[in-house]
Amino acid sequence: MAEIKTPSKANVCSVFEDMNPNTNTIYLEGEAYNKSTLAPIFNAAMYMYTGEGQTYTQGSNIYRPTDVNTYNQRSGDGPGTMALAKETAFSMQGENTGNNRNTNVPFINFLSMAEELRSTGLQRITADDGTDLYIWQLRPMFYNYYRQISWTNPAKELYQQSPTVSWGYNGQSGSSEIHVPVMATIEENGTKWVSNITQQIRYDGYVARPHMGLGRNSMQDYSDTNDNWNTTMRNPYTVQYIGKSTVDNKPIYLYNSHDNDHSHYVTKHNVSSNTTTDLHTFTAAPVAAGTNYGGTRATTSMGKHCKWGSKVFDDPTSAGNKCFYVPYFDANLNYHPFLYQWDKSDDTFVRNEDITISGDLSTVHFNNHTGGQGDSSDFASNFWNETFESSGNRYLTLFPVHGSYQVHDNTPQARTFVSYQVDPADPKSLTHHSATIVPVTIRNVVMLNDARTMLGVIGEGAIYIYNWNNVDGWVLTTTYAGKFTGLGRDGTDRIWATEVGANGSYASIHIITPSIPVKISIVPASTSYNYTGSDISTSVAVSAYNSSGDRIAVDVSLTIDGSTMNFGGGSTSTVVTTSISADVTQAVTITGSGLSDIVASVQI
Amino acid sequence: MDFTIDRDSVDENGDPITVTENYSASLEGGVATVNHVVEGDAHPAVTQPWNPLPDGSRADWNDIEEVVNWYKANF
Repeated sequence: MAEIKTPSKANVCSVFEDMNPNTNTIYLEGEAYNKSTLAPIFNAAMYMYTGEGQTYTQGSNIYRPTDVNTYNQRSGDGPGTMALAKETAFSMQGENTGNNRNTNVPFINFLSMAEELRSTGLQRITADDGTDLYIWQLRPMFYNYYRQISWTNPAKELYQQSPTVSWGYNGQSGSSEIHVPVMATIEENGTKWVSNITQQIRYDGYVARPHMGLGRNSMQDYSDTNDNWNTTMRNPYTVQYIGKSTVDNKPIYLYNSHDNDHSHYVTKHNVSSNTTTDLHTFTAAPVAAGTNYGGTRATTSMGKHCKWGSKVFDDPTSAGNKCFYVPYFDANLNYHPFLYQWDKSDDTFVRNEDITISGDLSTVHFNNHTGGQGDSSDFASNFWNETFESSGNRYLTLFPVHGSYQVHDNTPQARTFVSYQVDPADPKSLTHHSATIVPVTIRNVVMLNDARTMLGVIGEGAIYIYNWNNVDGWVLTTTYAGKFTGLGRDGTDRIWATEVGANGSYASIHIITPSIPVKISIVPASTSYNYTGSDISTSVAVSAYNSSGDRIAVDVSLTIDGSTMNFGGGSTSTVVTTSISADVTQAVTITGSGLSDIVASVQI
Repeated sequence: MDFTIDRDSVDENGDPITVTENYSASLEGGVATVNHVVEGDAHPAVTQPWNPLPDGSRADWNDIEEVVNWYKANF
């Protein structure tokens, strides 16, 4: 990882990607850079407010580890920190515990179960007639005010024109419960109405109660006055976007209870009329079937959690239809996910509860996870399960996530991923594959490639990069030390991160790309040399590895620091191009006794 | 059919209060509609062509009272 920018401004969005395919610009702290080369663009700051000049004062890059007033924006509180085209995870890196709003996990990265819709606070929504809406919803995720900035059919760079609409709601102390938009999803075809996942919160005690539902806004004027809320909010339920109906082009959502693991609603949003239709209700506890013991579990050793379903994938048992997994723990605390099957011909859903797991049940490896502590912290504890394919096999992993400070540092069984292989002919049949213990409390997780075989984990003192292989499961390949508040991908799959604490109170910006090595290895041919007065001809083996642990070809500059060694002909510097398949041998001549160092560097 | 739902909330001082919300429901042609009534204006909230039962299955609505009871129990 390379730190490419130390902070130079306050109250800014660290990274904002212009998703417009007609531009090639990214904004770091509000200033424009060429997205490909990162070359700065002269005198080019974003317009953040309609009708005003260039500025940068939207977003949040300050580090507030103990400030519990979440109306004070902070790095890691949501899409005001980084607004990228692909999934981005955040952590406020709070140092609080218990029923404290600073413990919550900004959940934007879990909201979309659809492959075609990225879970991010920056969306591009294009209507059939070509109307192109870019909407940035940058609210701090645990307070009752919000900002949304939108551009409709932007014809210029964002440093050359104002947003079409820029506003939101200011929030206030003592207010009654307020609806806020969380993430725009899709337009209902031909209506210009955009569906939104929404949240209902107060300023004080209810900032993190999962009380979510749906709303809408207009593509033509995405203003706060057009924020129409539907009254079908459910408490305490989270909401995820499942996908778009192919029957009537309307969005379908999953409501999932925080207080138990089995109460769900599958709901269609009639966006143009702003009403909802419950396609199905599943509120009865499962009965024992398969290896699933069923029932309603106790919430003592494993508390109440927000639970987030997997991506939707092709149903292997029914051509043309879809399915997905939703976390459920039976009364014995064993993970037995529900398998939902979606009949695309009529938008009916079946919830399969008779899951059979071969091999270890989850409690062998994962049997403890602190729950939410109350209405100020019920987004602190999360279970997310995700599915992916690797070399022709389908897998499913359960990820426990918790935002409370160091809450699971001393309980490895609460910071363990458990993975399963899915039977290719029967997705209700799972076989335990592997368990992976993360070194510290898992404060958030995000997939770092589209195949979902590369995973980023935000911990308190580092980012951990895991890569999947079919033999070992999730393998830790890279650790980046630092206190990170954001981790995600831009539209070109570069990985961005924000770090706090290293440069005063504000976030610095990091970037990772697969072509940038994270490790350079220089191994001498012999572990020691005995210089007796004659030059010794020997060599070093040079190799470079990326964040996935793969060898990469890159120019590595080597410089000898010392007077007892050279690269031949007396030269103390050289450039070695590493190989993607093997070590590269560089000749070295030892010309004296004593120590010399080889210093390696790469150009980024 | 008009009905109300009492919801628990808190006032500006954080003290518990009860907020009463007004609704109207109708059942025509087997399709239930529920409106949220605010200051006399009806805002459509739900269009429900069937009764979604707790086990995931669906049934026809029997009468408007069933619609009201369903709404109260699920929102």
